[in-house]
Amino acid sequence: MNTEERQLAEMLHRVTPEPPRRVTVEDVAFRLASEPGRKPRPGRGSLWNSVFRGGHGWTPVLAALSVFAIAGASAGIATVATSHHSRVGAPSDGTPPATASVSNSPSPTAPSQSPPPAGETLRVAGGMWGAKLINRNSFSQGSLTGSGGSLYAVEDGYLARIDPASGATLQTARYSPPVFSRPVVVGNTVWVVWSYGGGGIVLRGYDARTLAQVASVPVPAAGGVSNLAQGVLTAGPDGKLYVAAGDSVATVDPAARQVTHRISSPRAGPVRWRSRLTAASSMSGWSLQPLQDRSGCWFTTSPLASRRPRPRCRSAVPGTLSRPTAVSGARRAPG
Amino acid sequence: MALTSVEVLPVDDRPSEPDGFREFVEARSSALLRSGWLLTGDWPSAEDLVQTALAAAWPRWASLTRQDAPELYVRKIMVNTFLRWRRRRWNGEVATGRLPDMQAYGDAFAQIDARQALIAALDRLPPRQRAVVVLRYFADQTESQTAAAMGCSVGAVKAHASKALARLRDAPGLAELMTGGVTS
Repeated sequence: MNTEERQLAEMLHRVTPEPPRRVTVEDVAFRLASEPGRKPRPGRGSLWNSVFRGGHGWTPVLAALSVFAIAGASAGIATVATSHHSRVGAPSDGTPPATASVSNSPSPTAPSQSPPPAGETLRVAGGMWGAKLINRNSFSQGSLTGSGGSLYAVEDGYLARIDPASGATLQTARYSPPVFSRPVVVGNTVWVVWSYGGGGIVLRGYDARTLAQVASVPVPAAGGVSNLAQGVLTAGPDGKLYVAAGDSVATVDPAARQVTHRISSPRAGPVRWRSRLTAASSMSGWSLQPLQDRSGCWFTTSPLASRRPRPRCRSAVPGTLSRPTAVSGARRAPG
Repeated sequence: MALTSVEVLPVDDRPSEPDGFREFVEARSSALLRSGWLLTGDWPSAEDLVQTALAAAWPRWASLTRQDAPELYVRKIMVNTFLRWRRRRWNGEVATGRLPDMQAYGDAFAQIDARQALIAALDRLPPRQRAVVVLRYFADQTESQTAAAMGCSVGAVKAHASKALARLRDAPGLAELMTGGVTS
């Protein structure tokens, strides 16, 4: 290599950043399972033989996997997926709910198993890397979240705290989600959207351990609020809650339990907490989702939006996202 | 909102993971992702590229380790996949996390500017020249290894590298980066 080539090599190593996350074997295994054309050689493992060669679709397996949660290194993998129709009422005294059927759609090629006795885990077909069924309640899909050694999920009518090691439901609190929005854990409080509509938005906070209600924060909505919105509540890396509230996004300080800030006239796109806001067209509802690298969150369009907006870009001064400073053409960015 | 049906099928074993595959992924995924970022210019695509290459390597892992060349093979798949994407994908709309109205806000944003300048410079290169730059100068592969990965001759690698360097010389902001400046 000559000097110029050495300089180029040195610069490439120096400037190329570290990735925000690593690729894992589980990512690759899921990729293999998701691409039917690509599979390990026959005879490698009985799962591959029984599933891939047997010709069963992976759809139900992937549906099950979509609600699996990796519950931390110590707890291994916890799954909380069960049949929609199998739900039994979870008692509010903290005792685990009764056992229910794990399937209501038996496959002709691979009949469903009877549920194992209570307290016994069940390996799930296609549950790569040893995923097991640990809880037979019917949780809302995508409602699972984890923090501080506990899992939290929403059932029909309950917010549940789950032990990821055993799958036992440890505490429950009555809660009927008005819109689909994952519980958010900030500190020792689990926050949920208690009501969401034209009459206003109310967030409720529950003690992360006991699920006793500890806070209720009204969030005034400006403009229209869609009850079909999804993912309207998220937490930022600054420990604040961000709530899609009509034509604006409200910032709630969970410690002060009040709205402290409002991002006015937000548009769809990612918000980098410290720097800039990518905007699209106006719409009636919002969805908020943390970015993978936790540097910000996505604002996305309402499911009611009937047309794809032409993306635009806005930048905002750090800490003052309410005052976008520039508008220019840009492409929409991925999370 | 609730899951409508989850079918629980009998299963007696988990998929077998090739010996040494996990160790390789844990040890090398960062470097592979960084190469992927240089090739594609964004992390989601880089991750996609690396996962694609590792998924291709999985079924052949035993043979690759016998040949003592798993990383060369993975990089070869990455480059070929990248070149195939560039041929086949519609590039009229580019998914990007980079915004055009970037301003510098202290050192953190100077780093971002440096990365943007680097990616903008690499974007000026045709795909094969870009692949040669990444393999040769970032992955530190020899000319013959680079040629093997790209399925071309050593002479072609030299020609691509020479042309790429000529183009990069004219890239705005890259000269300052090459002579020092912002670190990641």
